Amino acid sequence: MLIKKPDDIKSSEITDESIYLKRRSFLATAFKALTFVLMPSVAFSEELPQGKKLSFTPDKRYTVDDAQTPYESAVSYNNFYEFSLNKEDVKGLSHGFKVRPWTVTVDGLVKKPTVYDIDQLIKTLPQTERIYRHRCVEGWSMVIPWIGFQLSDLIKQVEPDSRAKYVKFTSVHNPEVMIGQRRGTLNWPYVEGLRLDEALNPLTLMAVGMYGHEMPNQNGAPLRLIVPWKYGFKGIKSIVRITFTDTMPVTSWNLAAPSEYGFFANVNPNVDHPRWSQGSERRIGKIIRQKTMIFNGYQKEVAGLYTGMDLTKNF
Amino acid sequence: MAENSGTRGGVLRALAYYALCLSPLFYLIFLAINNSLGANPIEKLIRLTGTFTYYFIIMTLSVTPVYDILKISYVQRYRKTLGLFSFFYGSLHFLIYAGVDHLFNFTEIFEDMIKHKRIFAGVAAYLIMIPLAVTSTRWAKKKMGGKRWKTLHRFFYLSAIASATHYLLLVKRDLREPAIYFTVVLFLLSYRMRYLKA
Repeated sequence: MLIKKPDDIKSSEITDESIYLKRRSFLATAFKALTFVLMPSVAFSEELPQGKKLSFTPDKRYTVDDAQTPYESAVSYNNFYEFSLNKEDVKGLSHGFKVRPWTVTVDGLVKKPTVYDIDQLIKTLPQTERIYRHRCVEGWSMVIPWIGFQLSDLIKQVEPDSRAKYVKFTSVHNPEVMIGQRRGTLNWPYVEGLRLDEALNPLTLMAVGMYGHEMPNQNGAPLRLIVPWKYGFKGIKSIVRITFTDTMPVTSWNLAAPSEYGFFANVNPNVDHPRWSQGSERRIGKIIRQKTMIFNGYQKEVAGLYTGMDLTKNF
Repeated sequence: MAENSGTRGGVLRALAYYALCLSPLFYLIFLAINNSLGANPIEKLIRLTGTFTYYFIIMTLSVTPVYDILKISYVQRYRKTLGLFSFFYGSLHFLIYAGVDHLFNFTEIFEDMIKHKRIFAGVAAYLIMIPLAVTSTRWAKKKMGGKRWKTLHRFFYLSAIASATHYLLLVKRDLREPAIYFTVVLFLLSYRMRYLKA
């Protein structure tokens, strides 16, 4: 047997150790990539709720039989134009957004205008969990367990005077972090509004969390509005100001495209959006579309608010 | 078919070319098996197949100007396949819309078309492509006679405009992408105006 002496091997033939190791890591990566392709269920583990756990009482009156939307879908598919027009980019872009310290100013036609610290607000008002249907004007929907307080509880504290007819909500304006606000997609800051009786309806929730935990940034931390019988865009995110007025607030979407986005924005399968039908929706996680219900299925609770109104005109 | 597929090099070139044209489809399959289509996979598939259709329409329309300007004659061989791949991705796009969104309920699709200009433009763009795809064979060209065949196949331009309109009518606040597409299509079509006069 010929055993070469070290001199016989030219130094140029010896594989450099770093290259030898690189080959190993290349093989390891290639192997990982292969498992990734062949066994997606192994490669993907389900994402669990992030952030601080909240204490709350589940509100049995407000729940739905429909299956809850997987947490992962609810936090990675968000319409939050302050960050991006792309629903799937919002999660990453909102990562560095700071939601503490945070104050909410309540002012306008009220007897006790107040500036609240968000944590103080959460501590003093009863927190409940409600499972609501969530219908986007674009034709998709989710079922989400929100945690928060009834807006009517806050309204009682500040005592609106008799002239107050509307509630105007304003989102934070922070173009340094919210890069979507650097462009004039909408009139920033985002503004939404409700009629006072809509705001006082027991369904109307100020949400501070979901799935048992604090609200993720992309879903509108630290405080957002939930009006489950209206399209999602009414649910203004990252609220900094709540103002009571005697005139109907000029809302961002209504200002941008009044023929497409009304002030009321009640979920209504009989009134089409000019560019698409509203008769059906795709529940996130399902393939086949399902029929949309009038007032998103909350007719019993809210239809009375609109008696005598033509909902095809007041859409 | 690439016309010179008789030689061994030609066969290889043709295979590489088809693999390239099918790569968007492979990409979709890759996303699907990796569970990477996101929270709303059907919407994503519709959007991506639509985008791929635009790319192929633009590539198809680019063949003539590329030939005229750069004088690379072999690009002309690929025009028909590019056109057929536009039809292929357009078909996927239409099938998901018609099959998954409307469960092939053509009454519903017709109503959607009448009510919404965007759907009208999209369906029109697709319907126009069908006779072009059907008559794409050499046999059909011979049967029809070159002049009539050419006239029919100029309807591809109309389909391109309809598809650009379809996209333009979809977007609500950010018109940049559809505007770029519309401009590119108009530019490529304006290049042909002198042929149409002739």
